[in-house]
Amino acid sequence: MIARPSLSLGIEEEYQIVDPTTREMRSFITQFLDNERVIMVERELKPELHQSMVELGTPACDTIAQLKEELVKQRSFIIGLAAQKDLAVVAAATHPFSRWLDQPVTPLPRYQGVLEEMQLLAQRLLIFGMHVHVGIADRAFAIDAMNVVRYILPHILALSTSSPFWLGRNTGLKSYRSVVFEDFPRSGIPDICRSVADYDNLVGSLANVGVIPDASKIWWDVRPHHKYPTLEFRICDICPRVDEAIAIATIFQATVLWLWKLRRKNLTFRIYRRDQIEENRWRASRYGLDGKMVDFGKSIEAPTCDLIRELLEMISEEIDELGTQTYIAPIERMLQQGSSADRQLRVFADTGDLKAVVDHLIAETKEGL
Amino acid sequence: MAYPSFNIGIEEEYQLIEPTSRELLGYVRQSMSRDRMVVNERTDATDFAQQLGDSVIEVGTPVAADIKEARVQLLRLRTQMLHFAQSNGCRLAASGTHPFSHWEGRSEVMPGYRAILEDAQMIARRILAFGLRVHIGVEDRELAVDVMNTMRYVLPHILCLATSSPFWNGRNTGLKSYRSVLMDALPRTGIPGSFAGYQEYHGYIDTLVRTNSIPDARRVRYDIMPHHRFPTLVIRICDMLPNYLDTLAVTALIQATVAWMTDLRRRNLAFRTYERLLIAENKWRAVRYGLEGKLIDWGIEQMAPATDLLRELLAFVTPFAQKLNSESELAHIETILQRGANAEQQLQVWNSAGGDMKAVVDFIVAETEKIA
Repeated sequence: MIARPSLSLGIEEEYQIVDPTTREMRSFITQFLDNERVIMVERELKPELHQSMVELGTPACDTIAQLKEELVKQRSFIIGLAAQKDLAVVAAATHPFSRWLDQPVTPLPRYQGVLEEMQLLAQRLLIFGMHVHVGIADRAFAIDAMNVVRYILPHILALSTSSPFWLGRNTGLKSYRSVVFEDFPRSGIPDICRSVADYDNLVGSLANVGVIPDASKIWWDVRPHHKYPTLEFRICDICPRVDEAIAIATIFQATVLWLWKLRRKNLTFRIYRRDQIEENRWRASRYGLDGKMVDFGKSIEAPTCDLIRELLEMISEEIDELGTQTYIAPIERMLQQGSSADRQLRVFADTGDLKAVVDHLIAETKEGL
Repeated sequence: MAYPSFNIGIEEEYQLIEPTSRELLGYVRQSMSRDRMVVNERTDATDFAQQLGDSVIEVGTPVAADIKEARVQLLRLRTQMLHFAQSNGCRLAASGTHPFSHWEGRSEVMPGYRAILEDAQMIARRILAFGLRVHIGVEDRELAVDVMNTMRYVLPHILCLATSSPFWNGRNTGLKSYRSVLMDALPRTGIPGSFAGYQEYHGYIDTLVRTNSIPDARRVRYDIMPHHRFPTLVIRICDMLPNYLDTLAVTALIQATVAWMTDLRRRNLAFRTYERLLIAENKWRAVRYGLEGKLIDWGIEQMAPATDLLRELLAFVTPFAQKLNSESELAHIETILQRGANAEQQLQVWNSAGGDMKAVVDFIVAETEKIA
């Protein structure tokens, strides 16, 4: 029997450190760096390739309520730390105008390695995501859930979009980050894995020949984590507002529970080809919540918002069971008013000033702390 | 199963270069409808488009029965392009990217591309990248999908021979084919997944059209796929190659590989079908390191120098080159292996010129204009 997944939760976020006066990104991490790690106030700061980028992760949490508490603490911590150096924190997937070529790289050997391998592409990767972990101890079920859950990743990406600007320009896309990241190998929507053995073989093949050291270098939009007993969702742009980040985590958790219950009834959500799902992923990057996606079951186009409401309907029983109704509530507001990308575009339309967009993002990042 | 004709069609894209500044002034692409060339210009000061309107150029390589015919047609087209460039005071370049042009493409592009532009927005605007498209006649559609599935494996190898875009926006990207990165940022590109048969492939395209994802099958631009209208398999993984002998050699290799895959099939054998991810890994290595790197031999799960693996591939397909009358063209592959691909040559020129991008443009132009 497949054990009920623990459904424990964790969120990793990548933050931008900005100068509140110029609104440009600023080097930050090296100011705290000691022996490759920074341990301050019982928190581990993970330096990233770019010095103006910081990653933080919550501890594993049993419930959404606890996760929210931890995420609020985490953001308060980094905002406080930055404030000590008169800097501010932005939780958005791209900086509206800072240039990636001007950003200094963190002087650690492993990043020199990444730079050496990925060259200009690594430097271009000045993008910020949110990774949500949901606890699934049973690996066979984790792979099964991964295959199925791929289908809804574009829908969730649409909700999280927060990167309409790049190098001072309106890209016309809602999530430019999700396009930039596809420059990397082993990224995007994964192909179908038929079994744990199939997945292990795939990773094993890559590791055997030395192209990757281990599964941590598989950067798919969803993957079984190589160390933790979790399924890791990596599709999302980082959300400026904490309540929206938590609402998305709530969907992931309930979806995993829903899939587990289907599985026990010998049912499954249909598994679609990667190319088909990529089509919707593209539409999410391009149009966000404002567009249409393909309902491959019916083989028709439908407004993305309608399809997300359908998804919420499908998992509503699980939401009730988990008691997370209040945490999912911001989704309806987003469906009506848009994602962060839409809000950023509105600020820009009103002010014509990308610095105002940065100010807006700084304010949203603090909201609800 | 109807035996394929292995006909050849070559489609190219050319850059028009300002002789003093070496800037990109415009470029010429074969239009989707294949009956005309379309010029895109940088400034209003030039008016190539009008010039070309007087049908200076006889376009669309008609189908060639073999590589010898393809050679004649390619030379004729390139000669016409060269005259057209010269009569407008320009030079001609045929590389995957322009080394330093900051031109980001324009919105007033040809109508066929306008839809892509709306679809792909900013990504389309940064695609100033030029590719070589090789068509090989495979009339039986089931066979075409079968060959597509298996031939995906050797596309990274072929790309190693056909890289010519190490520079972008005046920078050494550190890659050999930056064009591949630019193209693969678009939806429906790169190494395709495998398909159970033509039905499945057609069903996939059909769904995209029916759901308004794409207006028609032309918007799908995988590295290899059956053409939506012509009875050919299209291979578009290669950068444009300045030296026409390289173009012919790569074309001959592609043609002979299709013949090899077909022959295996007829003997109830098949080259193994590998997962897209594994093939994509090799594509990345080709993009990054080109001929100077190693590729993974997935049969034995070991890395081997790309040049060794290409020599292995040559050994497999050479018997077919005899039948296809393409031995001398194929022999030029060995020259590329020893000399380095165009990207490696560009990097050598750049290094010995002390990082001067103009010298690189001069080299590309000289290679392109060497038609005789």
